[in-house]
Amino acid sequence: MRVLATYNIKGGVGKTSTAVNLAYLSARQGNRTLLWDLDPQGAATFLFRIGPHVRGGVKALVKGRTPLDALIKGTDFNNLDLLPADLSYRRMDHALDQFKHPNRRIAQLVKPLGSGYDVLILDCPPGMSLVSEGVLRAADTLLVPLVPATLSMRTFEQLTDFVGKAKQPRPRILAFFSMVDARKRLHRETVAQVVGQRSDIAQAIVPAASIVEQMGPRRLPVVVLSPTSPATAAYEQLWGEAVALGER
Amino acid sequence: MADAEISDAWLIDALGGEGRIKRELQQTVHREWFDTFDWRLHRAGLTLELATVTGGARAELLLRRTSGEVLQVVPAGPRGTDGRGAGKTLVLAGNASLASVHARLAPVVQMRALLALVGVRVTVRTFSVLDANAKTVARIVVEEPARDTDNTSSAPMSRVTAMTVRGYEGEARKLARRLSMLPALRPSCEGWLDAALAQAGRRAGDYTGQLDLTLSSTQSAVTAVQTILLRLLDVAERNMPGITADLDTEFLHDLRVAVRRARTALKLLGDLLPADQIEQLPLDLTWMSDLTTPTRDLDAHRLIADKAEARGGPAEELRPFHAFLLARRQQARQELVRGLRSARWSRARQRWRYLSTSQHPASAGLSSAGSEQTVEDVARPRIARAYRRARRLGEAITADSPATDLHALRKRCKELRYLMEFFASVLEARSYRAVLSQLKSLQDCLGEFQDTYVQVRAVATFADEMLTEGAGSAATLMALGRTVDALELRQAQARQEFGARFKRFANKSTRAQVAVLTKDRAQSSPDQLRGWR
Repeated sequence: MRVLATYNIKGGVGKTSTAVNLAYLSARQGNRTLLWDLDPQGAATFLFRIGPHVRGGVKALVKGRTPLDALIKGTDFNNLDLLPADLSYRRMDHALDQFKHPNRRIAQLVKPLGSGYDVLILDCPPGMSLVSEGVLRAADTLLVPLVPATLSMRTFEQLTDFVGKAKQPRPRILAFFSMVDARKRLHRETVAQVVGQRSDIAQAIVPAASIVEQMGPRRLPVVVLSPTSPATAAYEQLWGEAVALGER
Repeated sequence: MADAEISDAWLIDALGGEGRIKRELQQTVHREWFDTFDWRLHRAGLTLELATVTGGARAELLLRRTSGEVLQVVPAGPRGTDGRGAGKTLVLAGNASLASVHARLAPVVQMRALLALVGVRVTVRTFSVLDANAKTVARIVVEEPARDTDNTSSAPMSRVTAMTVRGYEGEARKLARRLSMLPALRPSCEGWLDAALAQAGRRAGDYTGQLDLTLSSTQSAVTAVQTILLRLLDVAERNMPGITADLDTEFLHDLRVAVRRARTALKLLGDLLPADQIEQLPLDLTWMSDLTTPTRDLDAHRLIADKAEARGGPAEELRPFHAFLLARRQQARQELVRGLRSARWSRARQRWRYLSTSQHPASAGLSSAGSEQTVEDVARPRIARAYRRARRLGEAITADSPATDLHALRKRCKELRYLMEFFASVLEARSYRAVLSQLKSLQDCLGEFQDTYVQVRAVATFADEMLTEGAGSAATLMALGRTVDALELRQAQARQEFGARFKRFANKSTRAQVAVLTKDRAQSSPDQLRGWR
């Protein structure tokens, strides 16, 4: 099972949109795909019209009293299931901290899912926490959305530095520009400076498009809402690059 | 199931109205099911279905449990261009989009081909059952026979199915209950595959290479031998088309085993049948065995290259060897197919059938006292004798014994195994399992020894021939040299293990189990009878 995670220390950069669309694309290719919405805000859960509730809450889940397998919900799409968010996930750090090696716990929890799924996508909450450390350990590929701005690049450097110093196994990093507004000079210049120059930054560029914002009210992936839009093409390209990275 | 056509409006009204039931799509689909000849998917509780939307524009491969639950859906591309090999087989290997299904099924299917079983053309209408958030919590699938141009339908009946969405199982149960209460519908557990198979005069699991015979200990020994022979003839004949079409290697394997078992039956039980009727058949069966050996051996040799590749070994260097073997196999197979189509084999099967079905004269199968022998009279003493023969032969084997001695023991072990399998239904189950376990362990060791022994010599011969024909580079010959080294190592390991395995086969404990197995049932104590089938 390949484990990918969408992650950034910053919030509101397109993590959930990416996780939802890539999960859909993975499933459409025939991969048995599971999306775990780890963010207590439950945006991915909302987009798939699933109730943000996990039986027994985060404590039972982290302790293994409720196996992950029993909490999974089917989405409206073939091959695509979701492990929903729950408000109690806000206390996930505390629950993980009860373990001797808290940063290994998420990897331990997801391991048994390998027999039922080809791809697992973790949609992480923003920030640096035990949850994000656990995700870094569980994932083989980290997808990092970047808004084209100087500060974003600085944060990305901090992240690559942090991952580089982490113990093995370390995930491969694939960053990509997200919410790119071609009308803004800063966006154009930042993207032009970086894309194609670094192997850890994808060629795919996800545009800031109203159709991406429509995911919320319409509660559907962009790829379904508008199959021929530039945003869909960008997510398809990004998925292709993520798959290729895994095969390297 | 329904006998009349079901309208959308009727179904939506009956199940809660527009807000709750949403019609998704309607399409005409050609469904074709695949399984191995010996039903490996079915035995694993799975079905594999290629669903092609009319026009061939889109096809999906659906892996389901036999209960109908969908486990995986993979886009398979337009029919005939993606995933389908030549003829009526489905090829998963080497196809990137089917890789995950291949990985999942490979341990079940192994070396067997996935063959098309049956197909139906159906019109499918899908409806979603929605909750308050407009989330699909269950699905209703209405399938009806598609109308052909001549207004005849190609599928057997109409069905309405409640489909589960993971995590919402209760909703599907509620839906199924509601559907079952609708007067126009009647409940059924039979799926499309079962119905389509029934229409084609078949049923799931209708072939196995195993004997699976139910004999009675009081039954006449003659009719029991006839039942065994008839079953073996059926297995042999059912595998012939697969060999001729070269669908996979196991058709030949099953035919060879059936022929070998029949030879054993004639050798060890043939005295029960009229002597004049079994003069020619053993000779024909030996001829057929010999005819099949080169192809089977070449299949086994090809596995050497395949295994090397699977282990990440010298696949590139062994490629010319692979090509050389394929050319040799082609020649051997042509000979084999000619033999299978020959008048001699046809006559041999006629003799085989006649021997298995005709009424034999009253003198056949009589004991020295003149009474008719039963299975009870025959099975146990002959198994005991076959065990003693194998044990004596094994005890004479020393560290210096030639490979031919081990091969001779292997043949005796096979005879014992077949004899036990013929009469499995009348033998005490626990002892049967215990003896069989030791016998299998010994057979595995002897098989490994003999196979590697043959392969070492064959590879050396082929290497010589390749050199003469200029068919292989120095790298290929060196890779073959390494292969021979590896085979010799395996052979030496098998030889080393033989002593311990034979010891377990011949020790006091196994002898005691054989004694229970072969003891006259009438003289057995109640304790010994407890585990009787």
